[in-house]
Amino acid sequence: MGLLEKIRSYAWLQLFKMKPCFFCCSICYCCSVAYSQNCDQQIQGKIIDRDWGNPIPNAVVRIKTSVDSTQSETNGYFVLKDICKGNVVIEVSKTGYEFETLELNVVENMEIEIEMSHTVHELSQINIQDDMFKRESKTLLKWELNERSIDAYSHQNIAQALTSLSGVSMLKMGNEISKPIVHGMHSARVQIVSNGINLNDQQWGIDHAPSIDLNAYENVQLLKGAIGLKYGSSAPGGIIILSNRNIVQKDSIYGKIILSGTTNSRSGSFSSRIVKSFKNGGFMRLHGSYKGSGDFRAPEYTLSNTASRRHNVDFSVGQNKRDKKWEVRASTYGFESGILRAAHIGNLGDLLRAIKSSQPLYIEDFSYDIYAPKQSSNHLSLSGYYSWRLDSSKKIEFRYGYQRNNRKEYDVRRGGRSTKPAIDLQLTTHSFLGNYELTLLENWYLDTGISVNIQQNYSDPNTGIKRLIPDHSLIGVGGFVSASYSPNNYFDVELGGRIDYRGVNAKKYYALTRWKENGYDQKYSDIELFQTGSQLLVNPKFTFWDASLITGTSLEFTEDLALGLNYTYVERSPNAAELFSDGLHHSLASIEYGSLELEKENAHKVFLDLKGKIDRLSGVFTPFYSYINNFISINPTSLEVTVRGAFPVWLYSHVDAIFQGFDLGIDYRFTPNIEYRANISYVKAFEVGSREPLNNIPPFNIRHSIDVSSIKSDKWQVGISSEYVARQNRFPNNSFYVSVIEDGEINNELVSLSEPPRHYHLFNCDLRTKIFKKGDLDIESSLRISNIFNTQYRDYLNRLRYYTDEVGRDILIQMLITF
Amino acid sequence: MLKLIIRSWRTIVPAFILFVFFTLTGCSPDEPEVINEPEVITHVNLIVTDPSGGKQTAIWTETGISGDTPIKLTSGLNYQASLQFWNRSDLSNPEEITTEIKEEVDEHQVFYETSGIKIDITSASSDLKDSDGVPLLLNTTWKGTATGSGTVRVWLIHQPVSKTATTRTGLGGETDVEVNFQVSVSAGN
Repeated sequence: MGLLEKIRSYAWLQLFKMKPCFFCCSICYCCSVAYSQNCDQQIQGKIIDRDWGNPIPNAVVRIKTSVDSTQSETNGYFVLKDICKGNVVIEVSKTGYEFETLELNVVENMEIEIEMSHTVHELSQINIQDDMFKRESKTLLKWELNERSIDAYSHQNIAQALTSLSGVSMLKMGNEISKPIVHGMHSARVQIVSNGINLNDQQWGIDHAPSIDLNAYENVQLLKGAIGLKYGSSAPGGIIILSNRNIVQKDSIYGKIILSGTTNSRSGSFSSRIVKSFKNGGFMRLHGSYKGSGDFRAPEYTLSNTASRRHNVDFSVGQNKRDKKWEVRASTYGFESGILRAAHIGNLGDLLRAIKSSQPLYIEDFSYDIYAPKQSSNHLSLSGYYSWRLDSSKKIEFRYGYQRNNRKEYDVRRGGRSTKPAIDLQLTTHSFLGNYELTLLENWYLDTGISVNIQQNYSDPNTGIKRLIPDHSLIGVGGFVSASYSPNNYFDVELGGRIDYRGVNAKKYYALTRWKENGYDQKYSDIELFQTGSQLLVNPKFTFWDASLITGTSLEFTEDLALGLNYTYVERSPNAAELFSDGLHHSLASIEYGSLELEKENAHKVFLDLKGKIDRLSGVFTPFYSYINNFISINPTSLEVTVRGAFPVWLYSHVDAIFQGFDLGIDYRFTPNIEYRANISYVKAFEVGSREPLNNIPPFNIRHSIDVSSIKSDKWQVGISSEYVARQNRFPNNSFYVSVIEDGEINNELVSLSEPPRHYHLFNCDLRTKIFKKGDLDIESSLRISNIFNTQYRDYLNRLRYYTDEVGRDILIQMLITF
Repeated sequence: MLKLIIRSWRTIVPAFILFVFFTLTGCSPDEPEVINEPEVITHVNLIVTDPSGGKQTAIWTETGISGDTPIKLTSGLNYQASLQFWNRSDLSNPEEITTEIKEEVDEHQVFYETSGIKIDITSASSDLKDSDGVPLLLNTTWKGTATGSGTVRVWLIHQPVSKTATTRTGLGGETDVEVNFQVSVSAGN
């Protein structure tokens, strides 16, 4: 009489699964009536790994006909009480293991042993977490995008997909160039790790989107703290971990194809993956995707030159055995996107005219063409991974990654130079990571290792425009140790530290005038090399020692109430963009300068996650507080008058800052197939002392959704969702006055750069249905309408908000074929 | 198998250490090539010729205006004014950008605004016209219509939306040059 039901796994519901010992992550949920006949027997048992013989903690054990369940202790032991005499079926489930059932004839108290084997990962199983990363943090809540969400966002970019997680916003430049904001922080303060290798292209400042195609991954995890010590913990905002699932020893071939089309930008995308696995654990995985899109459309006009193209090919081969794993991977990613034509302006006066105009000053008919201004980026990565389990408690891992990032930007230029890049940067990184994992006395877990990073940045001089980022090299060497102690299922403590050496060696030309204006000729005369014309070549060298410390604890009071408390201290040395930036930003009419005088940033962050469940209502509340000493931010200083007119000068500088806020997620199940969810997030960030708000902080926002699904399995699902984003009322006043001649009079007019746009409220709906299923072949189609009412709005976090409204109604049709 | 792995690591690890060593020792970047920006305009020359052939030249640079400033006009007389744009960022190799602008006449427009003074600015016979016959206004005739002193703002607009609009907003496009010259108009004899 058990009613089997698969718990639907949608993005943020996933978080309940992160902690198997809390909201039980079992696949089955049974309800039944208890019998009252001679039911006082007891079954004691131990759960062990079939291959390894080590005890399995946190496995959920239950009698099939009962709602009650128990979990195995750290040593694998469990006790089932009040068992009735007669035949019983025991079910055992645990993430990463095959579901086990055992039939017993109970006549008296019994002692049993249950063996579990590792799961054969099939694409259709969506609630399986990669064990490669299961030790990321014992005490910190993870937020996860599972494969189904990744598929749903197949045609979008990583930042857009991540905004479906509680507390993530997106900083955009136009429509396609965007990066995630976590707890008000972005860029170098949010680290992205792809298959164990740190993505190294975020030093290029705000306008560079991560070179990642989400389709190449099966799992995305977000940790809202500097927890990934292994990967170099310089990111107080958070860490995003992208991974693929382990492939288990089985002869099999499977894959999927996703086809999507949208109406707004008339885009089409294709993504496909095919995996071949062998009995000996060997595997090959090939992924390819392409997306092409035309100009987007705001409710009232076309956003000219916002077309884009994206492609990705990813191939890996490896072997996955219990004691040894290796994988070699090659991936190439290319992205090209037009930048709104109307946003390419000459000076502050042009910006004023753009702001005063209700629509962009340049509108053409729809097209798929991409012309200047545009951005293109290419990312090549090669990586190797090897892990070796010495015995059931010791493991060694090695990782090597090579990355080559290239970014080109094209401006509208005179003399036929528009086809020549105005910025052409190439960043080459070699990274090596070796670590040793050790389990001690069953309750202690240790992870220690070293990492080496060698990086070279080259700016092509053929651009004919002075380098935004100068040629430089960087060497990073780091060592870390982290330990966690889990005496039982209800209590974990974690402690870790890392120390990093970073050496930067740059060669940069400064305009002599600026070198002197900043007083650098006095302070840094020793690094001057020689003068050529009006430029001076200097050789700045920096060495930084960065230390980080993390500590956390998690406590489970009852099955329905748990608490995690973390404190992290992170030192982050300034990156190349912050030290050396030197260039004109066309869409913001600003001149941006780095500063040699920057010191490292010291960030303290405390955050709490409180998870609770009352009947059908469950929730997660994550307040945080972060104090950052020497927070590096870019701030306007003065107006520079050039031959092109006036430009505000923005300079990287230090402030002491406080970030505080919370994320709240609520889930209510009206019935097993009707579910309501809400995500609320709020961040307040300001300078210590003056309490002046910081720039680009996400405004208060609420997202609601109601999903209704078919009662049996997941045949169909319908959902509506709404997104409310308030006006950001806390913003720094960075406005400028510009001289304008009107009716023969010179007037100073205010360019209200800082003024945030109004609040907005959007509605979306989606429908998903299985249309075909036969054997392993499964075809699913979905329809999603975003911005149903074609609402006109502007987004505070879009750097091009001065020029246009955001995108209007969009209809997405998607077909997912798995085989 | 295990032996094979140990053996392979015995070669991989030293190779890696060597690689790191060489990279560490040889990682100072090469001497980067100096970039002299070819498109930059550093000097705007305004040359005003009076009816008798007398020349006044005012040169705008980021550090200020040199030469004849203010430009002195007598009201009622027709002056020939011409503009030159120069790139002198590389002192050893000054380049006149005006040539490039003339070549791309369809994509450029010069525009004038005045404040505090009244001058009629019209296309001169020596001026260049684009493919639609719209004058570029590089060479113009200036005629002061009232006395006083004030500012002439000179614009060079790249890819204007309209070339015949009478306001800066109407022209659209992006500003390549926006500089002010001081001009005074005195009464004629």
